[in-house]
Amino acid sequence: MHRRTSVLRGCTAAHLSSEDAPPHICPQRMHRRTSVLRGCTAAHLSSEDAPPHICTQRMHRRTSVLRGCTAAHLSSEDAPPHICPQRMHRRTSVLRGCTAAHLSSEDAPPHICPQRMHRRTSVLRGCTAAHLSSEDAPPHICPQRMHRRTSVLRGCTAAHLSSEDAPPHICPQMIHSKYNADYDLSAKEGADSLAFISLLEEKLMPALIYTFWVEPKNYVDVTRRWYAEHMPFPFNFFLPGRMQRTQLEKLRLLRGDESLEAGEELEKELFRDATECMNLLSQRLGSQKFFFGDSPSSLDAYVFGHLAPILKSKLPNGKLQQHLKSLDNLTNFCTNILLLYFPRDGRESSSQKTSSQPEGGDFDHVPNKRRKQFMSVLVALGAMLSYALLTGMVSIQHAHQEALEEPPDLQTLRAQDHEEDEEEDG
Amino acid sequence: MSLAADAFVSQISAAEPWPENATLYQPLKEDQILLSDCASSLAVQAYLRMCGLPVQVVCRANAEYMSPSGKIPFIHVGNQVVSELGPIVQFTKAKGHSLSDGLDDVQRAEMKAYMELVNNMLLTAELYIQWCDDATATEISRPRYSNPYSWPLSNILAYQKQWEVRRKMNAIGWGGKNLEQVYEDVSQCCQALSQRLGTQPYFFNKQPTELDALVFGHLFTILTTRLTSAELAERIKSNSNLLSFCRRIEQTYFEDKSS
Amino acid sequence: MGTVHARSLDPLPMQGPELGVHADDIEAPDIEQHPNQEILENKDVVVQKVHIDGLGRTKEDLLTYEIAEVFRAKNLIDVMRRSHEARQKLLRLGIFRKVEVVIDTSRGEDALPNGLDVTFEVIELRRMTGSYNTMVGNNEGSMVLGVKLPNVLGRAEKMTFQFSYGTKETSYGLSFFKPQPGHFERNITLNAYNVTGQFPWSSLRETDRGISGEFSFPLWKTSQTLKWEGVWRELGCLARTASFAVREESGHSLKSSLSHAMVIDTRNSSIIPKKGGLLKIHQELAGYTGGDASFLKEDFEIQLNKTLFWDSVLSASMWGGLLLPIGEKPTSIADRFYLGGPTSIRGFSMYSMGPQSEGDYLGGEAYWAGGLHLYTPLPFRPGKGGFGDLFRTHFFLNAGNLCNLNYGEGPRAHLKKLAECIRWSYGLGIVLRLGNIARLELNYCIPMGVQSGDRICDGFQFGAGIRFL
Repeated sequence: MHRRTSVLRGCTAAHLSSEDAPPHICPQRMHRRTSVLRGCTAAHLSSEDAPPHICTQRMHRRTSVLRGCTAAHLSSEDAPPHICPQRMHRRTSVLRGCTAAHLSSEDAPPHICPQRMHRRTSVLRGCTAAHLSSEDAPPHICPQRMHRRTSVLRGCTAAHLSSEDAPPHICPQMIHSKYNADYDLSAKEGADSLAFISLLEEKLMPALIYTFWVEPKNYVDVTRRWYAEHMPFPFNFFLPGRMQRTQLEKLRLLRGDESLEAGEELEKELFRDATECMNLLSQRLGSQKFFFGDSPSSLDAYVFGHLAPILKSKLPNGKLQQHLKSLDNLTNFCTNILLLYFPRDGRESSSQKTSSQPEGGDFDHVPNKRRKQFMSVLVALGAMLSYALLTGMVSIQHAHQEALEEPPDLQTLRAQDHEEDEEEDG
Repeated sequence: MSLAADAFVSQISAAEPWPENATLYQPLKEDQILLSDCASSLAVQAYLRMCGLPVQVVCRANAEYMSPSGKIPFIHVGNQVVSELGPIVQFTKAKGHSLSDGLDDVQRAEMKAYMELVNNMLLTAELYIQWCDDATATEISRPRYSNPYSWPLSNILAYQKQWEVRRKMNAIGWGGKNLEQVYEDVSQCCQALSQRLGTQPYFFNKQPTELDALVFGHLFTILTTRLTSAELAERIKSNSNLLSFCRRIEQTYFEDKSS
Repeated sequence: MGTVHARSLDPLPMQGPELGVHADDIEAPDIEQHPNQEILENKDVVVQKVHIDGLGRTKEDLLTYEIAEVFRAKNLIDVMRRSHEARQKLLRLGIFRKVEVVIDTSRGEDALPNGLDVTFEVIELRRMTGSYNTMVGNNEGSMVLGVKLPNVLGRAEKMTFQFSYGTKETSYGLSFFKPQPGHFERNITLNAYNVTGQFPWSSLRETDRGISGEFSFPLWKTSQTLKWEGVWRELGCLARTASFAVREESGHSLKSSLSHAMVIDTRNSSIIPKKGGLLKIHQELAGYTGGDASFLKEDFEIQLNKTLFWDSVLSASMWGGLLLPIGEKPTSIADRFYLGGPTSIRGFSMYSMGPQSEGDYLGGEAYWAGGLHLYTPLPFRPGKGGFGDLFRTHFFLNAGNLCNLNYGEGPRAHLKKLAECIRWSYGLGIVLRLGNIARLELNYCIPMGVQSGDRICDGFQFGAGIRFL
């Protein structure tokens, strides 16, 4: 694969396009033979109002690699992804192994790196952008890509990419075209992969929505914090809640139950489905390396994308995680893909822990500081404004009374106005 | 009801044999039932026939509301009410009737996956065509759905249902599709099924499973139901092995009993 | 001649027309007979003018009907009496907070020597009044918000909106009331509502969305009401464990019915009457005006009260009803009768007798119930003349039956069926009157004639309600 000129590898950049956003990756790429998108985990990193910061800066440094980015939840409606702009200035900054779980954002078309396309060494790889579901962003991965013979979608984990308006099929065109990760699959295997993707969607997806968005403890401790920390001040208060309501509504519609509430009964039902689904996948996988033998296919990406967030996120309610961990072959499958397509992830996982600590502190500090500054300014402003209003109201009334009593004043004022108007006219 | 109680009840029901007076409820066959409900109902009937379990089909105008899950069909066995194929399969299994016992783990996983494929694509496509295609909704779905009710309730209920389905379609990402895309999905699903079936008599060789019942229910219903456009049926007809599969099941499980 | 204020007359309690004005509260005015009035009494007077001061949005033509009688007065006492009556009429309209009457001699150019001017000084109710209540029921709390627009169009029309937000259910209703000017008892009411109720005894949840129009008018001694109602009813199971019989009733139905009610009420109080009787007949015909429920429903209620020795009252009541399905379709669970509980046959659980399936009560198509009560004041009469008068002790004997009839069998078989398996109960307890609207009871009951399937409440039973057997 690497010998071919351009290699798209492990591209999980699902959801890269959105209704309003034409899939930027490929048009440009098409012009360069050798451009390789690799290790790009930048799923959904951009947002409507936020130009994709990652890459603009990155463009200026040759060696900067986006790696190990755990930038979960990096996008938000109006929030430029804070993680990366800062990180860009550090040479060693690495965005990698991005398990960017749950990157769903409501209105953010995920332009991944239009600029990046101009770089030779840029590589999109091993992107695990799982759960990238966004509302308005249909996850057509690169329809254009299909036209290239050499483009290979591999290890694509674009799981859970479903979005409201977006049918969650990876590349409908892909199925018909020969140039994809499922190139080696027989027709029957292709059918199987379609079937298992349906299985994931019907059985695992509701449980995933429940785990990340509906289960109160998980939502408050993890999901809402992720979002709140990476959104600018006024939005972090209400956007996560709004997204949660959207997800709950979606779950209600999926289940066909109007009065669905978070609770033990629902959890049991959903988790029963989910564990059954995992068991079935585990049985199907058996002792193989990938679902269809030794080479990965889109199904592997799909399954990985659904399971990796469960496996890797530290949730207070980790029932699904417990069950997944008990299925050895699925756990191995996930770690295997992580190692293969996010190679530096595994090696640096230990060093990352130590290094990410201060970094994380940095991230947390800057927005917090800003927020505090903003808040204090706001409070001061509010106080001043209310004072002004209070006194102002008195004076306004007074002035009004005067005006009523003394119409000549008004007339003179009007006269002045006229003069001014005339002046302006002139 | 707590799950402990649930388990207790299912234990009790497991001990009881399949009664003679088991009943399957569905909407009125002539005037009311819609394609998707008819398909689901036929799938359950086919499954029960494959298991050799007698069931009496009863048509009720309020079947949808009688069902504990709001979905069609449901069966009333003893004092138990179970709706939809999945739970019904589990229920019969508890009573000792199963079609998938002979399968190994991988096959069972595949069977479940293909069942979800049918639910995920065929059933959704049926719902889409029924309620999101304006011509079908106006000419067939709304008048039939509201048939048992008197005006103005009939209009209210039909539009309410349509709105609900459309919201669901938006939630699962089908809201932006057009009819052609949906037909394409159906084709794709049918091709996958056709590939899986190959030249075998049933999906898992000689013996029918619940997957066969489900596929039969949907395909047979689509083939035999008159819609505003025959496009849906045409998409299935392009897979000849699926056609003979439907004919085979119809002959084996339906014709001899009705005659 | 001095000014005579009619102010000394007892002010009427403010009551909306919907509660009715109770004989209890309106005693004939005792007009004090002053010595100088006796002279005036025989003197002919003419009411020349009637002023109404303080009118804002009220239209005058409405009031001319109410005060017309004042002009017919022939002497001063007559003027006072008629003015007082006019005042009562005005207050009854429910549009004034306060009405005062001032009678004065006429002034001005065309004033006759014996001419009088009557002035009604009124204060209108506010354009909008609101109310807020919280209610706590069995395992459920709810908040009731009410908005009332009295006299909304200036002719004693009233618009009411009620919104109840509960932990389980939300209901709301809008009603418009319009009396005929000059004939307050002849009025029209229009309603639109959405009410959700949970009936645990039947494992049933019912949501009613409906509109209704009602025309009430007095006829001889009776009060008649004609009503049309169109309701969209949605029934559903309260739990997954609901019996199949209730499950079969689930779904939507549309009821359009015409009903007629006739009431003769000569009691002095509707809650704890001392004397008088009540006859109420209600009949409902559904199906002829559309909808998919068709039945004929007949229902009656009789009550007689007699005061015995030592302020004790003997009260006898009788209820009965019959529901006839029209056509093939069986009757709906929502239309059938229910019996039992602290407001009907005491000693049984709420609506928990008669036909049932797997513990869910399905109601019956025919019922009767009778009660005999002996009300006495509290022993040793504590708090007499005040708080203690709100309480009564009572001894009761209740009996009744609820069943389904097979209409092929004829009346003899029906009577036989209603006469067998009679449930009855007896006991004693304390009754508390809550205003003129409701009453509370705490009883010790001994149920008898219990049939299998009935749910009883042996021993102490607490009840609250408006209508009691």
